[in-house]
Amino acid sequence: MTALEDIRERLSEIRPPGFPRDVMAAGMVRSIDSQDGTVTIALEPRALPPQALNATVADIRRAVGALEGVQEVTVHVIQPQAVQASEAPNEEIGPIPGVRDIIAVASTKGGVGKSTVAANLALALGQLHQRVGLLDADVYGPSVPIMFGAGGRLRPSENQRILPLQKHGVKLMSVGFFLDDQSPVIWRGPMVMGLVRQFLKDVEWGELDILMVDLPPGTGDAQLTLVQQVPLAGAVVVTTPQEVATLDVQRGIAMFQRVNTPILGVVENMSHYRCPTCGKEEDVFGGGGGAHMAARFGVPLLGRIPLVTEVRTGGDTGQPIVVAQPEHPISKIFAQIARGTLEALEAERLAAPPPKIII
Amino acid sequence: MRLAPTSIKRLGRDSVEVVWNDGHRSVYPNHHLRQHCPCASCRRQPPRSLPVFGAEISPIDISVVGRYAVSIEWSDRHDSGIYSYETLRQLCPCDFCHAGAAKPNAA
Repeated sequence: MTALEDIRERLSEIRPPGFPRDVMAAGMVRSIDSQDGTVTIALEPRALPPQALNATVADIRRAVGALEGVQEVTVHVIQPQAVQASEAPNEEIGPIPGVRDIIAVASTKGGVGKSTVAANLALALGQLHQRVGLLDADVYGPSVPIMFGAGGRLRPSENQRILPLQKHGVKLMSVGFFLDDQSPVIWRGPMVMGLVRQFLKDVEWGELDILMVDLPPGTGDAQLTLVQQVPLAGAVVVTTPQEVATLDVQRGIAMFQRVNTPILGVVENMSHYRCPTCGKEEDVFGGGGGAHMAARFGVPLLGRIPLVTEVRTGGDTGQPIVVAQPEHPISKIFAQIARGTLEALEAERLAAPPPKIII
Repeated sequence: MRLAPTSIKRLGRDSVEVVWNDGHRSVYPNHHLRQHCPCASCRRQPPRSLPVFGAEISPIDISVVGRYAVSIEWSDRHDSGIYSYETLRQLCPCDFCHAGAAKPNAA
């Protein structure tokens, strides 16, 4: 056993080439460990150029190795703090305790009614006896507060985490709860990523079967944070039938496929319009885009939702159609989408269990 | 079927074993994996995070990232590398994979 004092003394005699102070005085030595003749030293070299670092490490090994009772000297070089700090936000979040499946609702193109679909799908899943949470990650245009008619003061939980609001049986979290109606969110990417992280980590979601994440349109920071940091069980992709929308959504599907997130299915919104007076159906955006896309990527078409006024009024009044009119044909379509989502989740669970890790 | 590992295991002191869902088994010497760390600071030239001097390096923690990758924390405290399953498979050092003729499901 070599005394740490002796090691420190030797280290304080080592001065990197071209450097004014010794490694101890410069605070480069982060830790020293001595056990059964093996000495392990963690060195944080800061701005030392590579040649000087190599010489310093060699000096340390020689000087400490010469101490009585030392058989082996290991020097670990730690990267500078600044680099570690800037990379910390990439740290993964991992599974959320108590939450069975996290699924994303994504669209890549704006204006397809993704949030409307997310809200109604969350409620339809609730009606199938699932415990559901909805995280509104659309920081630039949060719509969950209006769609659910939810608001008011957020309260901390007992252990100082954020308690989600609850409406129509669904647990809700949205950046909109922190803002008044007029203030825009003007944020840069890292802040968006930080917020999504915080909503996943620091909100007391409790026991949930499904946590749905309503993503902002696009393939940017919020999406990246999510797919890189939590094990997504899958994604539901919302589109409208026209060509330009399906092109964009294809990019989104490709993004999820690149990170191995299964696409649970496609929802085609605003698929057609039925004239309330004559009953004639009109394909406002052209027909079959969702079906086309589903076939092309080999994913199920979960459902086609027509353009109906009640869907819009439901969203605007905080009474989504699934709760306001559960017997409405549209609500039946959402029930079918919810069943399809659960079936796809189950199929994925059987197909790709996470790897066993043995350290 | 998406290529994914079914198990990832530390093999003794010096290597990591990955068994894939197509039946292939990869054994990676620790230094091979550490040298090919895909993180930005290791991939830039010259690398910002420096390789370990002296003793052998070993993973102290391996965790799953999303459904597409694993991250490895090394004994030199370097932990920013995210190895996608695709990258990990390409790094497989076995003769079969290196011959270039290998199809993943032929193993």
